[in-house]
Order: sequence, then C-alpha cells, then structure tokens
Amino acid sequence: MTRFVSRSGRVLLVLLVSLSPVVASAQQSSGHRIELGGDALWLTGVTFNDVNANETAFGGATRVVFRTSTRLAQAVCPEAKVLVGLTSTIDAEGAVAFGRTHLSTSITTDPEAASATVSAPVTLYLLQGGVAAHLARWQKGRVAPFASGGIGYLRQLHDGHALVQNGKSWYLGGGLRYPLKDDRARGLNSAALRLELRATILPGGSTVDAATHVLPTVIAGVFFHL
Amino acid sequence: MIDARHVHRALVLVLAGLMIVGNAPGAFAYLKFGFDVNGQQVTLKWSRTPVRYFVNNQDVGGVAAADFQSAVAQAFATWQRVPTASITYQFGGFTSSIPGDDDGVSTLGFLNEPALDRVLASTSFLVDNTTGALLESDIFFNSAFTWSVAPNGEPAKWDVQTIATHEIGHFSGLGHSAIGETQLMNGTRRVLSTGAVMFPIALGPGDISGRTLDPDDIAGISDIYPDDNFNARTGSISGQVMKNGQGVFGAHVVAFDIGNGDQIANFTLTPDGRFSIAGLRPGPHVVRIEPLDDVDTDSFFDPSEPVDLNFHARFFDRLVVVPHGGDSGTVQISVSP
Repeated sequence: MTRFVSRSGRVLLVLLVSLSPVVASAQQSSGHRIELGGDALWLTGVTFNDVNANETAFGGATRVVFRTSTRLAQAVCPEAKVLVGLTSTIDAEGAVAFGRTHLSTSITTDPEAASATVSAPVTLYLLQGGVAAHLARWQKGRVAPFASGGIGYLRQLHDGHALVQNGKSWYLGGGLRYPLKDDRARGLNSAALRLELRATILPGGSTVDAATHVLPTVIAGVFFHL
Repeated sequence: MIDARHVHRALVLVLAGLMIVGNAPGAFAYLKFGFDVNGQQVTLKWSRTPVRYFVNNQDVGGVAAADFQSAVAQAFATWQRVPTASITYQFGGFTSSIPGDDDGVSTLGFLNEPALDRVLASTSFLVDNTTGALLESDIFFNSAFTWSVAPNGEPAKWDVQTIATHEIGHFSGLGHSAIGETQLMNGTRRVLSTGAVMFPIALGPGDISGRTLDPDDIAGISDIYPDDNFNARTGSISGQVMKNGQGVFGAHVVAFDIGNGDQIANFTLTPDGRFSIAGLRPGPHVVRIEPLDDVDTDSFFDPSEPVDLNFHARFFDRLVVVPHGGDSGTVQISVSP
C-alpha cells in the first residue's frame, strides 16, 4: 500500500516537472483571445461493475440467481465551446454538450428465465470548465499540441424525465490544434481545427453503480477567433 | 379490557413450509397483512410505538427465559435499527402469560406443539374488528424442536434469534416474501437460498444468516412504518401482468436494482393482474416475473384465491426507471404459458 502511494506521487511529480518548462516556453500565443467553437464530443461509453442477484444459502454462503452487466452506450454529443486566453500559454475553456444514449443491461445465467438485454434511454447534458495549456515546445509546423483538464457537471435524464441524476465529472486530456490560416506572427488565428482525447472521469455520484469510472472521450471541432 | 365481540384472532403459522391463515391484501405496497373492516381493507399495523412485548418466564428445553429474552431482544433491535422505518419496541418484562392468551399482552414464549411437526414458530394477532387496530400479537416457538441461543448458533439446533427475526416481521405486520429458491426432492421442498428474512421456509438448524435483514425486509417494514423521508427518498414500480389478454393473479414480480443488486418484490394482487412495488431506490431496475412455484401458495394467499402458476418466468423487455418519490408509471408485461 505504501509503495503504491509513493509511486503515484512520483508519477505526479514527473508530470509537473515535465509540463512546467514546456508551458513556460510556449510564448507564441497572445493572451485575452476569445474563441468560439463547435465540436462533436464522442463519449465512447462505459461498462459498469457487474452486479449479481444474490441470495443467501445455508451458513451464509452466497448463491447467484442471475448476473447482470450494465453499460452506458456511446454518445456523440454536439458541443459549444468558448476559449478565453488567460495568458499567452493558458486558455480557460467552457463548454456545454448535449446527447442521447441508452443504458443497457444484459441478464444471464438465470436458470428459469431466458437471458435478455434490456435498456432505457438516457439524455445527457454536460457542462464543463477548465484550462488548456499550449505545449509550444512540441509544436510541429502549424500543428500545436495542448494539454487540458477541468471539472464538469453531468445531468442525466433517465427514460425521459423519470429520473434526473446530477453529478460531477472531471477530465484530463490533450490534443492537437491546427490553424486553418497560419497567422502566428500576429498571434492570431482566424479559425482552427482541434482534435482532443480525454479521459472523462465520472465519480460515484454520477454512475449507476456508485463507483468511479473513466470514459475515453474524443472531441473534434472547429474554433473561430473573435 | 378487550371486548370479545369485537376481536378476531388471525393465526399466522410460519416457517417450515406451511401456511398463513390471513390475507395477503392490498395494492401499492409490499406484501403485508390486511384486515377487512366493513368491506375496507385496513393494513394491519401498530398504531402506537414503542410496541410493548413480554416474555414468558418459563425455562424450556434447556433455554433459560433470560437467554431467550436476550435473543428475541436482539431480533427486535434488528428491526428497530432499520433507518428508514419508525417502529420501535420495548421489553415490558417477564410474564406468566403464554402466547395465545387473549389478554391484551403481547407475549413471546415456548409452547409444546408436537403435532405441528413442520411449524417452528407462529405469530397470532388480536385485532379490533371495528377499526382494524392491532391490539395484541403473540409469538410461540415450538418446543418440540431443539433450540439454541448461542451467539454463533449451534449445529442441529434452531437459532432463536433467526426465527424470532422472521416472526417479529409478522408481529410488525409483514407477510411472507417469495424471494428465495427451493428444490422439490421426494415430495419435500429443500431451500436452496433466500433473499429475505420473510421467506416462509427456514434454511435449516444451525443457520444464523436469518438474523440479518435483506433489502426486501427493509422495504417492507419501511413501507408500513415509514420515517419522515422514506416516501420522498424512494419510489415505486407499478404495472400489470397479462397472459392471453387476461390479468394474471399471484404472479411474483421482482424489482432488481442494477446499481446495488437489491431485490424487492411483490405480487399481482388484483384479478386484472396489477402490482405495485414500493420502497425502491430511485434508478434503473430490471423487472423479473415468475410464477409462485418455490413455495406453497397458501403461505401467501388464501387457498380460495386463483393463483396462476401456469406461465414462464421472464424479464420485462426494458429497464424500468424508478423516480424519486413517485411511480414508474404503469408497466405492461405479457407472459406466456
């Protein structure tokens, strides 16, 4: 246990050390920029922990009546996003996304009833805010990498409005930004494409099984400089 | 003083395979006892708490009265600890009364009933016919069996606390639960497993797992004696089970919480096949429908009631989402012979 904790600490330290000089050297962008954009946010889905229908046998032993496996299916969500340059290298970003998906449960091993997969629709609203750091050191031509992180508010409407579940989310990620018009000399881009990979972290309050899960997330969109 | 013209003793024989004499009534709840008052079904429940109980002062079959009282006190405490229920109990003292005396004193104790060779214990009620108010409830433990009050149980002896926990469920107004599996072997049922303390057949001598309540038990007691927030914090699933266009009576409907595995159940209790399962945690549930074929139907229903066993178990074909403080809306389920 102790070894695990210290290893985690070391990983964090390495990340901080390696990011700091990169951020410090990314001086090409000007601060106070405002960009508006639209993108498609692809939540690739999450499989929750298997849950069994357990009963108690003689002596307290557990007997499984049937097994269930539940997954929140993938969702492609249109997203509107605003970026505000806080410094020449750090942007604040805020976004709102909306999508429809479904929760699906597979039921197996019931000795009396046939296996089945049952589902219910889920509507998602995701509000997120965070920061993106330009990693200019690794820029190749017009392709500029960045790292991002932030917090979100996830509102899930199950089966229409039968149940509203509100919870937090977190994200960590990074991606590439590609200006369609190279105008870096003035620190401005009239438009840019952005591709980002994220780990969207859903803590227990936002998941069916009250456990923390990570959704791989892909975001692709275009941004316009105001 | 109890007016004999206005009381009715409903004997509830419990465990070991037999029986309930008494009704399994009422929609919109867990299976609980009801009583007919002028054509109206009234839920059988204590109107005042703490409910006082007394313990017979005889040492029986190697079990000292004090040890017996200690074991049943722990069983009462188990029900009283349910955080979403408001019922409380109070030990009134030892008494020379015996269970079954219509004296207004709720008494627990042993009786020797060798003829009831499949009955470990039973609970009876004294009810005011005019109001449906519960006046007295007695529990007898059959001293024809061998009993234990050991903290961890004893092989080949029935655990007083385990059986008392089941009986106190009845004492509080709960009927039987059908969450459990049995196997017929040579004409007798063998219990494979149970998912509720209120399952009508005990697992066996030496077993103490029945000292702990299951979600179905907790939902049931909370449904009868809800605390201030229970109804707002939980929701229900209601619906109708049909076969060949006709309602199915007595179908066992289980709501399974896909988040935590809780199973809470009820039956279709009207001729047109309607059911309601209350006390559910809000969220998506799998709904399973099965015939009542793991126990004798008269452990749940009056023998005159037409319990339909002729259909196949199945899962409802979508997840049912339970809202906070509300109902899922009517779920229409078809089963086939």
